[in-house]
Amino acid sequence: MPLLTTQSARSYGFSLSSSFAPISAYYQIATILSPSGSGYTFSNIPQTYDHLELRIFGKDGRNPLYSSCNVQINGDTAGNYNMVAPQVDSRVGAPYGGESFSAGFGAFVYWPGASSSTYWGSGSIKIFEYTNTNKNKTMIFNGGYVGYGDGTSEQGMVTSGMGNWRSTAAVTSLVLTTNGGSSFAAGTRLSLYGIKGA
Amino acid sequence: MAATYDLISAATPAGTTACVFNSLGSYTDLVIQCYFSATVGCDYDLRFNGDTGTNYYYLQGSSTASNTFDNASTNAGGSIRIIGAYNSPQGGADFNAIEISLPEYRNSIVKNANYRFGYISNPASPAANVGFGTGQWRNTAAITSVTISTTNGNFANGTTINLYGIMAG
Repeated sequence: MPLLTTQSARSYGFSLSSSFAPISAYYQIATILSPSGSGYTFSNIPQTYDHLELRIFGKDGRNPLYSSCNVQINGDTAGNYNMVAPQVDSRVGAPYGGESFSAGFGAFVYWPGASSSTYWGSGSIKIFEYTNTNKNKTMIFNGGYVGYGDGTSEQGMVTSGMGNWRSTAAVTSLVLTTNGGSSFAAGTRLSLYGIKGA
Repeated sequence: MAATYDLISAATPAGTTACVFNSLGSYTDLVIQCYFSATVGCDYDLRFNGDTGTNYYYLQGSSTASNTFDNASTNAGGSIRIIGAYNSPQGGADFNAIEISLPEYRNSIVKNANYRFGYISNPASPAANVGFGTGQWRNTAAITSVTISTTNGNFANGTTINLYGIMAG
Protein backbone atom coordinates (compact mmCIF):
# COMPACT_ATOMS: atom_id res chain seq x y z
CA MET A 1 0.00 0.00 0.00
CA PRO A 2 1.64 3.24 -1.04
CA LEU A 3 1.96 5.69 1.78
CA LEU A 4 2.58 9.39 1.56
CA THR A 5 4.21 10.92 4.59
CA THR A 6 4.96 14.56 5.10
CA GLN A 7 8.58 13.65 4.56
CA SER A 8 7.99 11.60 1.44
CA ALA A 9 5.67 14.30 0.15
CA ARG A 10 8.62 16.63 0.14
CA SER A 11 10.72 14.02 -1.66
CA TYR A 12 8.02 13.88 -4.34
CA GLY A 13 8.33 17.60 -4.77
CA PHE A 14 5.37 18.67 -2.68
CA SER A 15 5.98 21.61 -0.41
CA LEU A 16 4.24 23.98 1.95
CA SER A 17 2.94 26.59 -0.39
CA SER A 18 2.08 30.14 0.50
CA SER A 19 -1.58 29.25 0.10
CA PHE A 20 -1.26 27.30 3.36
CA ALA A 21 -0.13 30.22 5.45
CA PRO A 22 -0.69 29.74 9.19
CA ILE A 23 -4.06 30.76 10.56
CA SER A 24 -2.91 33.29 13.11
CA ALA A 25 -6.36 34.58 13.85
CA TYR A 26 -6.77 32.40 16.96
CA TYR A 27 -5.61 33.89 20.24
CA GLN A 28 -5.46 32.27 23.64
CA ILE A 29 -7.58 34.16 26.16
CA ALA A 30 -7.60 31.79 29.14
CA THR A 31 -7.33 28.14 30.13
CA ILE A 32 -8.36 26.48 33.38
CA LEU A 33 -7.03 23.03 34.19
CA SER A 34 -8.87 20.91 36.78
CA PRO A 35 -11.45 23.49 37.83
CA SER A 36 -12.95 22.86 41.25
CA GLY A 37 -16.65 22.48 41.96
CA SER A 38 -19.39 22.21 39.35
CA GLY A 39 -19.03 25.54 37.59
CA TYR A 40 -16.37 27.78 36.15
CA THR A 41 -16.71 31.33 34.84
CA PHE A 42 -14.64 33.03 32.18
CA SER A 43 -15.20 36.64 33.18
CA ASN A 44 -14.02 39.99 31.83
CA ILE A 45 -13.80 38.56 28.32
CA PRO A 46 -11.89 41.02 26.09
CA GLN A 47 -14.19 42.76 23.65
CA THR A 48 -11.51 42.95 20.96
CA TYR A 49 -12.18 39.82 18.90
CA ASP A 50 -14.79 38.96 16.30
CA HIS A 51 -15.76 35.52 17.61
CA LEU A 52 -15.04 33.21 20.53
CA GLU A 53 -14.27 29.51 20.67
CA LEU A 54 -14.43 27.27 23.71
CA ARG A 55 -12.45 24.05 23.52
CA ILE A 56 -13.61 21.58 26.14
CA PHE A 57 -11.97 18.39 27.36
CA GLY A 58 -13.06 16.53 30.45
CA LYS A 59 -15.59 14.59 32.47
CA ASP A 60 -17.40 14.92 35.78
CA GLY A 61 -18.64 12.86 38.69
CA ARG A 62 -22.22 12.16 37.63
CA ASN A 63 -21.58 8.46 38.00
CA PRO A 64 -22.87 6.29 36.42
CA LEU A 65 -24.78 8.50 34.00
CA TYR A 66 -23.68 10.30 30.89
CA SER A 67 -23.03 13.95 31.51
CA SER A 68 -22.19 17.16 29.74
CA CYS A 69 -20.59 20.54 30.05
CA ASN A 70 -23.20 23.28 29.54
CA VAL A 71 -22.66 26.92 28.64
CA GLN A 72 -24.53 29.98 29.87
CA ILE A 73 -23.87 33.58 28.90
CA ASN A 74 -23.49 36.55 31.24
CA GLY A 75 -24.84 34.54 34.15
CA ASP A 76 -28.27 34.13 32.54
CA THR A 77 -29.80 30.96 33.97
CA ALA A 78 -33.34 31.58 32.71
CA GLY A 79 -34.93 29.87 29.71
CA ASN A 80 -33.64 32.41 27.21
CA TYR A 81 -31.80 29.91 25.06
CA ASN A 82 -32.91 27.74 22.13
CA MET A 83 -31.07 24.77 20.68
CA VAL A 84 -31.29 22.28 17.84
CA ALA A 85 -28.94 19.40 18.53
CA PRO A 86 -29.19 16.16 16.51
CA GLN A 87 -27.43 13.46 18.45
CA VAL A 88 -26.55 9.81 18.61
CA ASP A 89 -27.09 8.13 21.93
CA SER A 90 -25.74 4.63 22.34
CA ARG A 91 -28.14 3.99 25.21
CA VAL A 92 -31.10 3.81 22.86
CA GLY A 93 -29.20 2.52 19.84
CA ALA A 94 -30.71 5.01 17.40
CA PRO A 95 -30.14 8.63 16.54
CA TYR A 96 -32.41 11.48 17.38
CA GLY A 97 -33.36 13.26 14.20
CA GLY A 98 -32.94 16.51 16.01
CA GLU A 99 -33.89 18.14 19.22
CA SER A 100 -35.21 21.63 19.58
CA PHE A 101 -35.97 23.13 22.93
CA SER A 102 -35.77 26.08 25.18
CA ALA A 103 -33.30 25.58 27.92
CA GLY A 104 -31.36 27.26 30.65
CA PHE A 105 -28.17 26.98 28.60
CA GLY A 106 -27.31 27.51 24.96
CA ALA A 107 -24.69 24.94 24.04
CA PHE A 108 -23.15 21.80 25.45
CA VAL A 109 -20.58 19.06 24.93
CA TYR A 110 -21.27 15.50 26.06
CA TRP A 111 -18.66 13.89 28.25
CA PRO A 112 -18.52 10.89 30.60
CA GLY A 113 -20.25 11.20 33.92
CA ALA A 114 -17.85 8.98 35.76
CA SER A 115 -14.75 10.43 37.32
CA SER A 116 -13.37 6.93 37.79
CA SER A 117 -13.58 6.20 34.08
CA THR A 118 -10.34 6.28 32.16
CA TYR A 119 -12.17 7.84 29.21
CA TRP A 120 -12.75 11.47 28.33
CA GLY A 121 -15.04 13.58 26.23
CA SER A 122 -14.28 16.66 24.18
CA GLY A 123 -15.73 19.21 21.84
CA SER A 124 -15.80 22.83 20.80
CA ILE A 125 -18.29 25.69 20.85
CA LYS A 126 -18.08 28.79 18.66
CA ILE A 127 -19.88 31.98 19.62
CA PHE A 128 -20.29 34.37 16.73
CA GLU A 129 -20.07 38.16 16.89
CA TYR A 130 -20.16 38.13 20.66
CA THR A 131 -19.73 41.90 20.94
CA ASN A 132 -22.47 42.80 18.43
CA THR A 133 -25.32 44.50 20.29
CA ASN A 134 -27.68 44.32 17.30
CA LYS A 135 -27.91 40.54 17.15
CA ASN A 136 -28.99 37.70 19.36
CA LYS A 137 -25.99 35.46 19.95
CA THR A 138 -25.53 32.32 17.89
CA MET A 139 -23.42 29.31 18.83
CA ILE A 140 -22.47 26.15 16.96
CA PHE A 141 -21.06 23.17 18.77
CA ASN A 142 -20.12 19.53 18.45
CA GLY A 143 -18.50 16.89 20.59
CA GLY A 144 -19.00 13.73 22.56
CA TYR A 145 -17.37 10.69 24.03
CA VAL A 146 -17.10 6.94 23.66
CA GLY A 147 -17.42 4.80 26.74
CA TYR A 148 -17.87 1.23 25.53
CA GLY A 149 -16.81 -1.18 28.22
CA ASP A 150 -15.46 1.22 30.78
CA GLY A 151 -17.69 -0.39 33.39
CA THR A 152 -18.89 2.82 34.94
CA SER A 153 -20.06 5.23 32.30
CA GLU A 154 -22.56 4.66 29.54
CA GLN A 155 -21.56 3.73 26.05
CA GLY A 156 -21.32 7.10 24.43
CA MET A 157 -23.09 10.13 23.11
CA VAL A 158 -22.25 12.63 20.38
CA THR A 159 -23.99 15.71 19.05
CA SER A 160 -23.58 18.55 16.62
CA GLY A 161 -25.87 21.49 17.14
CA MET A 162 -26.70 25.13 17.11
CA GLY A 163 -27.94 27.30 19.91
CA ASN A 164 -28.82 30.90 20.45
CA TRP A 165 -29.14 33.24 23.36
CA ARG A 166 -32.08 35.52 22.83
CA SER A 167 -30.31 38.66 23.93
CA THR A 168 -28.46 41.37 22.04
CA ALA A 169 -26.17 42.15 24.95
CA ALA A 170 -22.46 41.78 24.41
CA VAL A 171 -21.02 38.59 25.87
CA THR A 172 -18.77 39.51 28.77
CA SER A 173 -18.73 36.22 30.66
CA LEU A 174 -19.31 32.53 30.02
CA VAL A 175 -20.37 30.11 32.73
CA LEU A 176 -19.56 26.44 32.19
CA THR A 177 -21.40 24.01 34.43
CA THR A 178 -21.63 20.26 34.76
CA ASN A 179 -24.83 18.36 34.22
CA GLY A 180 -26.59 17.78 37.53
CA GLY A 181 -24.19 19.75 39.65
CA SER A 182 -21.47 17.15 40.01
CA SER A 183 -17.87 18.27 40.21
CA PHE A 184 -15.43 18.55 37.33
CA ALA A 185 -12.98 15.67 37.28
CA ALA A 186 -9.29 16.35 37.79
CA GLY A 187 -7.67 16.73 34.39
CA THR A 188 -10.61 18.59 32.89
CA ARG A 189 -9.46 21.46 30.67
CA LEU A 190 -11.58 24.44 29.62
CA SER A 191 -9.95 26.81 27.13
CA LEU A 192 -11.23 30.06 25.63
CA TYR A 193 -9.92 31.54 22.39
CA GLY A 194 -10.59 34.77 20.57
CA ILE A 195 -10.86 34.76 16.78
CA LYS A 196 -10.11 37.73 14.56
CA GLY A 197 -11.29 37.93 10.99
CA ALA A 198 -14.38 36.77 9.16
CA MET B 1 -2.72 37.32 24.11
CA ALA B 2 -0.69 34.69 22.30
CA ALA B 3 -1.67 33.68 18.81
CA THR B 4 -2.06 30.00 18.10
CA TYR B 5 -3.63 27.65 15.53
CA ASP B 6 -0.46 27.04 13.56
CA LEU B 7 -0.13 25.10 10.34
CA ILE B 8 2.14 22.14 11.09
CA SER B 9 2.00 20.42 7.74
CA ALA B 10 0.10 20.44 4.46
CA ALA B 11 -0.16 17.32 2.32
CA THR B 12 -1.36 16.76 -1.22
CA PRO B 13 -1.64 12.98 -1.30
CA ALA B 14 -3.22 12.44 -4.74
CA GLY B 15 -2.42 9.03 -6.18
CA THR B 16 -1.88 7.38 -2.81
CA THR B 17 -4.17 5.49 -0.44
CA ALA B 18 -2.93 7.07 2.77
CA CYS B 19 -1.60 10.31 4.16
CA VAL B 20 0.65 10.06 7.20
CA PHE B 21 1.60 12.95 9.44
CA ASN B 22 4.49 11.94 11.67
CA SER B 23 5.83 15.29 12.80
CA LEU B 24 3.14 16.63 15.08
CA GLY B 25 4.91 19.33 17.05
CA SER B 26 4.34 20.12 20.71
CA TYR B 27 0.87 21.55 20.96
CA THR B 28 -2.09 20.85 23.24
CA ASP B 29 -4.61 19.92 20.54
CA LEU B 30 -4.42 19.02 16.87
CA VAL B 31 -6.93 19.85 14.16
CA ILE B 32 -6.92 18.16 10.76
CA GLN B 33 -8.79 19.75 7.90
CA CYS B 34 -9.35 17.54 4.88
CA TYR B 35 -10.65 18.77 1.57
CA PHE B 36 -10.52 15.79 -0.66
CA SER B 37 -11.88 13.22 -3.00
CA ALA B 38 -10.97 9.68 -4.03
CA THR B 39 -10.86 7.83 -7.32
CA VAL B 40 -13.78 5.62 -6.27
CA GLY B 41 -16.48 6.02 -3.65
CA CYS B 42 -15.13 5.08 -0.26
CA ASP B 43 -15.05 5.75 3.43
CA TYR B 44 -12.02 7.04 5.30
CA ASP B 45 -10.04 5.50 8.14
CA LEU B 46 -8.31 7.37 10.94
CA ARG B 47 -5.50 5.62 12.83
CA PHE B 48 -2.76 6.61 15.24
CA ASN B 49 0.86 5.55 15.63
CA GLY B 50 0.44 2.96 12.87
CA ASP B 51 -1.83 0.86 15.07
CA THR B 52 -3.99 -1.43 12.91
CA GLY B 53 -5.25 -3.52 15.83
CA THR B 54 -8.81 -3.58 17.08
CA ASN B 55 -8.29 -0.69 19.48
CA TYR B 56 -10.69 1.86 18.03
CA TYR B 57 -14.24 2.80 18.95
CA TYR B 58 -16.56 5.32 17.42
CA LEU B 59 -20.10 6.61 17.35
CA GLN B 60 -21.44 8.81 14.56
CA GLY B 61 -24.61 10.21 13.05
CA SER B 62 -25.26 11.42 9.52
CA SER B 63 -28.04 12.71 7.36
CA THR B 64 -28.48 12.32 3.60
CA ALA B 65 -30.15 14.44 0.96
CA SER B 66 -33.21 12.19 1.29
CA ASN B 67 -33.63 13.28 4.90
CA THR B 68 -32.71 9.98 6.47
CA PHE B 69 -30.77 10.22 9.70
CA ASP B 70 -28.57 7.25 10.36
CA ASN B 71 -26.02 6.19 12.88
CA ALA B 72 -23.04 3.91 12.98
CA SER B 73 -20.79 2.61 15.69
CA THR B 74 -17.98 0.18 16.23
CA ASN B 75 -16.90 -1.50 19.39
CA ALA B 76 -13.24 -2.50 19.03
CA GLY B 77 -12.62 -1.97 15.34
CA GLY B 78 -9.44 -1.53 13.35
CA SER B 79 -9.90 2.19 12.82
CA ILE B 80 -12.12 5.16 13.46
CA ARG B 81 -14.03 4.82 10.21
CA ILE B 82 -15.62 8.02 8.95
CA ILE B 83 -18.53 6.53 7.05
CA GLY B 84 -20.30 8.33 4.28
CA ALA B 85 -17.81 11.14 3.78
CA TYR B 86 -17.51 10.31 0.09
CA ASN B 87 -18.95 11.61 -3.09
CA SER B 88 -19.85 9.62 -6.16
CA PRO B 89 -19.07 9.79 -9.00
CA GLN B 90 -15.54 10.68 -8.11
CA GLY B 91 -12.90 12.60 -9.94
CA GLY B 92 -14.96 15.69 -10.76
CA ALA B 93 -15.13 19.09 -9.18
CA ASP B 94 -16.96 17.94 -6.07
CA PHE B 95 -14.89 17.49 -2.95
CA ASN B 96 -15.57 16.22 0.55
CA ALA B 97 -14.71 18.02 3.75
CA ILE B 98 -13.75 16.55 7.09
CA GLU B 99 -12.55 18.34 10.19
CA ILE B 100 -11.02 16.25 12.96
CA SER B 101 -10.09 17.52 16.42
CA LEU B 102 -7.60 15.60 18.58
CA PRO B 103 -7.41 17.13 22.06
CA GLU B 104 -4.61 16.31 24.48
CA TYR B 105 -2.85 14.15 21.90
CA ARG B 106 0.42 14.11 23.86
CA ASN B 107 -1.21 13.30 27.19
CA SER B 108 -0.92 9.76 28.61
CA ILE B 109 -4.65 9.11 28.54
CA VAL B 110 -7.05 7.17 26.34
CA LYS B 111 -7.47 9.37 23.29
CA ASN B 112 -10.70 11.01 22.18
CA ALA B 113 -11.32 12.46 18.71
CA ASN B 114 -14.24 14.47 17.38
CA TYR B 115 -15.06 15.00 13.75
CA ARG B 116 -17.63 16.38 11.35
CA PHE B 117 -17.88 15.83 7.64
CA GLY B 118 -19.93 16.30 4.54
CA TYR B 119 -20.23 16.26 0.80
CA ILE B 120 -22.64 17.38 -1.88
CA SER B 121 -22.35 16.17 -5.46
CA ASN B 122 -24.20 15.95 -8.73
CA PRO B 123 -26.69 18.83 -8.40
CA ALA B 124 -28.89 17.33 -11.13
CA SER B 125 -29.52 14.34 -8.91
CA PRO B 126 -28.31 15.43 -5.52
CA ALA B 127 -26.28 13.07 -3.46
CA ALA B 128 -25.23 14.41 -0.13
CA ASN B 129 -24.32 13.38 3.34
CA VAL B 130 -23.42 15.38 6.40
CA GLY B 131 -22.48 13.99 9.75
CA PHE B 132 -20.58 14.12 12.97
CA GLY B 133 -18.94 11.64 15.26
CA THR B 134 -16.72 10.90 18.19
CA GLY B 135 -14.02 8.26 18.31
CA GLN B 136 -11.59 6.74 20.70
CA TRP B 137 -8.18 5.12 20.44
CA ARG B 138 -7.89 2.89 23.48
CA ASN B 139 -4.23 3.54 24.10
CA THR B 140 -2.54 5.91 26.52
CA ALA B 141 0.59 6.44 24.43
CA ALA B 142 1.24 9.90 23.10
CA ILE B 143 0.09 10.23 19.51
CA THR B 144 3.19 10.59 17.36
CA SER B 145 1.67 9.93 13.96
CA VAL B 146 -1.73 10.24 12.35
CA THR B 147 -2.82 8.27 9.29
CA ILE B 148 -5.82 9.08 7.14
CA SER B 149 -6.50 6.50 4.46
CA THR B 150 -9.13 5.58 1.94
CA THR B 151 -10.99 2.30 2.23
CA ASN B 152 -10.94 1.91 -1.55
CA GLY B 153 -9.00 3.63 -4.32
CA ASN B 154 -6.58 6.51 -4.14
CA PHE B 155 -6.94 10.10 -3.10
CA ALA B 156 -7.87 12.09 -6.19
CA ASN B 157 -6.13 15.06 -7.71
CA GLY B 158 -6.80 18.25 -5.80
CA THR B 159 -6.89 16.59 -2.40
CA THR B 160 -5.41 18.66 0.41
CA ILE B 161 -5.05 17.59 4.02
CA ASN B 162 -3.76 20.17 6.48
CA LEU B 163 -2.59 19.60 10.05
CA TYR B 164 -2.82 22.41 12.60
CA GLY B 165 -1.62 22.73 16.20
CA ILE B 166 -3.37 24.67 18.96
CA MET B 167 -1.81 25.67 22.26
CA ALA B 168 -3.70 26.06 25.53
CA GLY B 169 -2.43 27.80 28.62
